[in-house]
Amino acid sequence: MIWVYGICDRPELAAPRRPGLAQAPLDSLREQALLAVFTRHAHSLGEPDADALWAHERVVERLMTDRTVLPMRFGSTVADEAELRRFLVDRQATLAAALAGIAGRVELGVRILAQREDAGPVASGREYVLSKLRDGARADRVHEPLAALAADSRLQPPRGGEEVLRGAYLVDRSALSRFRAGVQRLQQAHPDVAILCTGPWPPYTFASGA
Amino acid sequence: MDSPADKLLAAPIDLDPFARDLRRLDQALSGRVGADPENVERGLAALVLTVVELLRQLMERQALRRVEAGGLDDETIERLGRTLMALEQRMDELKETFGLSDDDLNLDLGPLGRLL
Repeated sequence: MIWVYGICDRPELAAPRRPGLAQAPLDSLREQALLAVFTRHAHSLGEPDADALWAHERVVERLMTDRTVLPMRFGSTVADEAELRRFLVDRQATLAAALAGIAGRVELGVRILAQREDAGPVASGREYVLSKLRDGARADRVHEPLAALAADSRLQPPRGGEEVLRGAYLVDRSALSRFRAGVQRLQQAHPDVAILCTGPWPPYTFASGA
Repeated sequence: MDSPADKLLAAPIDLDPFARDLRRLDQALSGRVGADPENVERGLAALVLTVVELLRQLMERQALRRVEAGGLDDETIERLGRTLMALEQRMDELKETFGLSDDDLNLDLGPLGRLL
């Protein structure tokens, strides 16, 4: 079984000499302008745990230091190198286009929780509607200026409770500090919400179309 | 284990509300089990509830848009709100019954992205 970490540009650059999951050494497979980085495993890796998630993540982040990487979702495996090569050949154009779209960029995650002073149960239908509209307005006030600082953004529906926004922003590396300052400025301007910004992450969200 | 602390770019002083999610992640990781008859049933429930949840969210968005556009009388808004509230509560009950979290209620549509 082959565990894939990411598809990279600059195929002349070999995989870094370091271990991946289960301490297996990183290997790579080149197909024209693409390089897939992977590890080989004779046995199933067992139940996924947080350590394995971080091991996968750190490999992708190491690759990101000297090339552009389409990060593979945790758990992406193929049977053997022939299957991996087929994947690269079949999706050559899509993968190359996706790589071009994320070159020089990273993903930042933003979540916003509303601090509700009226924590009690909602009494009327009207109140429910108004509170939903208020949540939407709170999210827009933060999302719109942040989206203007990003090359692209994707919103997921908030997961109920206090959450009013869950978004991913694709940001140029050169604009990272500007984005971060933007988050801090918005947090100061809107004390009725708590804004959490994490990253930089590999652009998982923006690689999903490839 | 690697610490994710270096991933905090900007965070409020009180991180507790956000930290609640970490426990959910732990549960998601430890809750994975192989396919057995009970699990198949749960998978089917997740599939059905995903579609129901998608419709619920679309309805809610549509209703909020109508309220925002104005022109609805108070009685209509009240009725809409009560319906939406009841739908959300019922959905929460169903999720609890089948032991499903919001993360379970999603479909990966491949090139089209995630459903919800």
